Amino acid sequence: MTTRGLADRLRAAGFWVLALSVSTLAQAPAGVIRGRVDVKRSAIPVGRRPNVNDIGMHAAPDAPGERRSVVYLESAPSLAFPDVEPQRATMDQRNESFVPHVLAITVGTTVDFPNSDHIYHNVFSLSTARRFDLGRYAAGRSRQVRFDRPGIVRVFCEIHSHMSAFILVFHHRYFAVTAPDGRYQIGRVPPGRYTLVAWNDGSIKESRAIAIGEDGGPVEADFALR
Amino acid sequence: MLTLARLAVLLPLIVCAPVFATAQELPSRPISLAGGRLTLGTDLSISATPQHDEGAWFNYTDYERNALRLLRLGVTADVRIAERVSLLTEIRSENGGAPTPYALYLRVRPWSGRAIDIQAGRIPPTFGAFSRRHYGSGNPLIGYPLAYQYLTAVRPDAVPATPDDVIRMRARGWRPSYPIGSLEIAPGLPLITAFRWDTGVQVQVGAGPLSASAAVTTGTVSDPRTRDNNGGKQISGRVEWQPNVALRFGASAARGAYVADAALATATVVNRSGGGSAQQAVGVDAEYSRGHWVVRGETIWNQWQVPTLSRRLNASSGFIESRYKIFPGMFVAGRVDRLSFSELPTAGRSLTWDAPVTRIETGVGYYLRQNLLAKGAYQHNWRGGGLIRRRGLLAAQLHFWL
Repeated sequence: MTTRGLADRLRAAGFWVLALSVSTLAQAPAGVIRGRVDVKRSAIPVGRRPNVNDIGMHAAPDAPGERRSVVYLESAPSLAFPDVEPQRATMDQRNESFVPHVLAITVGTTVDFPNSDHIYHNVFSLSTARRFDLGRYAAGRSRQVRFDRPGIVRVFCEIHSHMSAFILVFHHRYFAVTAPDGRYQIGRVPPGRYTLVAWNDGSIKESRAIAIGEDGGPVEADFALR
Repeated sequence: MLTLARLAVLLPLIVCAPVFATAQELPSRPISLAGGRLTLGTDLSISATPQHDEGAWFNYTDYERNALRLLRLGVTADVRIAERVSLLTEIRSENGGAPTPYALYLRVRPWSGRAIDIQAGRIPPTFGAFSRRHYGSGNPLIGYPLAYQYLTAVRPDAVPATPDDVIRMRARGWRPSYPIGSLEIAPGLPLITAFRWDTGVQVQVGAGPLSASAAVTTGTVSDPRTRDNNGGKQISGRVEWQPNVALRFGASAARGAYVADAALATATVVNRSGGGSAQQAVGVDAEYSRGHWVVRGETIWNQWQVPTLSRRLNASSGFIESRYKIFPGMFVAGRVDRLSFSELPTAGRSLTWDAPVTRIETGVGYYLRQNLLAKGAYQHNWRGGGLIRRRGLLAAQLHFWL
């Protein structure tokens, strides 16, 4: 699915929020969705772009966490926005890598982009969900961007073409970034029927229907992404 | 017939095809194969101008192509042979011509704990800053700096008999001809070519704020060569100092024999008290960047000795360029550039040995994707000699890389 396609679906999730009953869900016990995402494909080693112009060898950049996936509800229940406090997140620039490689946030979150390297970086994105260019700034400095629209934001460094990352912006809080072993947990999900989506690195995703019972019991959902 | 070189250029496109098909969008990362041991990248650019530059030849290169009207397909490969040994190559095809290895060298880091690298083969230039930039994304404009592209009246394979022969070739760098040496029609030399790399061995020492590199090569900065044509080697060196992340200074020097043996032998017969056959160049460069600004400047002083002339042919060039991003994905850029020449007295008068040139180029760039850049530029040239003394040129370029 293209970035724009997912953005549309994430927007649709917002409409679902309004469509569902607030009072019913507020009274019901919340459930937990948990499981494991197994990325079956072999990790693609993405190194530097071959640059014949350079004199001398470069240290290999840190391996980004491309195995990390994001699991989220495609259509969110009402009361999806109980947290009205402005959220804050950080995407560091360290050893010529964005850390974390995948960041999942809610709409309205401000992300800090500190530069922890001793060289310049220039963070930018041309994604329709958020277009920005932070310019060049030195080590120890940080700049921030507020994300006000749902969608996938691909982040790059203008100076180092091997640096890239994803920011997934949701209209709701029913999402989780998997742990290094692939495990995830989405908590406080109101009873109802949902579509659960597992996404990895912009190229693969898989969805399935799940139901949270009235008793709010945990639901197990494992994914094998190929 | 599909030659090996053509196959090498086409291979990444073949590999990319399934990526295009499944992702329904342009790939953005280099292609990694064999568990990361082989990394392939590509550079595709097409430059076009609605105007002809024939007659003036302001933008023609020593590859005899118009730099503003160029289809270029390049494939770069990094083969990791061992942990500290790599083979790097770039194979290019221009205007549909036969692919040629622009770069092909072995890179070795002998000691893991020391920032010393040795490169051997067809290596990146040691001299100057511009020629080591990425030719597409590193050049905010479409044209090249005069020192790296504009063809002067000096030839490596043909030599003037008198100063008058040189003066007659003023502003005719596209096709200078001389009575000694080759009688074939061929272009002259730029001060430093950005279109061909030399063959030899290069060592870089240091990392961080101070680094130095030195090379011994077969050709010279104006005439890099795969096969030696005169038995002389060029020695070049460069020192780079980066006091902070925003600022970088560089200083370069090079000296080597540029006149071909065939021309030199005839010239020696004509004039035994010859003036030498070396090219020597010195350059300084600087770059400052901050926020959405990048400012670069480079100045080069160059001297060609001519075996039949007691006077040496000096040339100097300097440019300053700047790029400013006006909003995400869009920038404006400009470059002011000057190439001037020393005076050469003849029997009746004293003129600069080639016609000085001034160039101003401004442009705008727009990123359609992070690795797909569209540029438009206007370039104006003024020249102090020749039949055509000024010419304005519009140009556009589309550049894709991964």
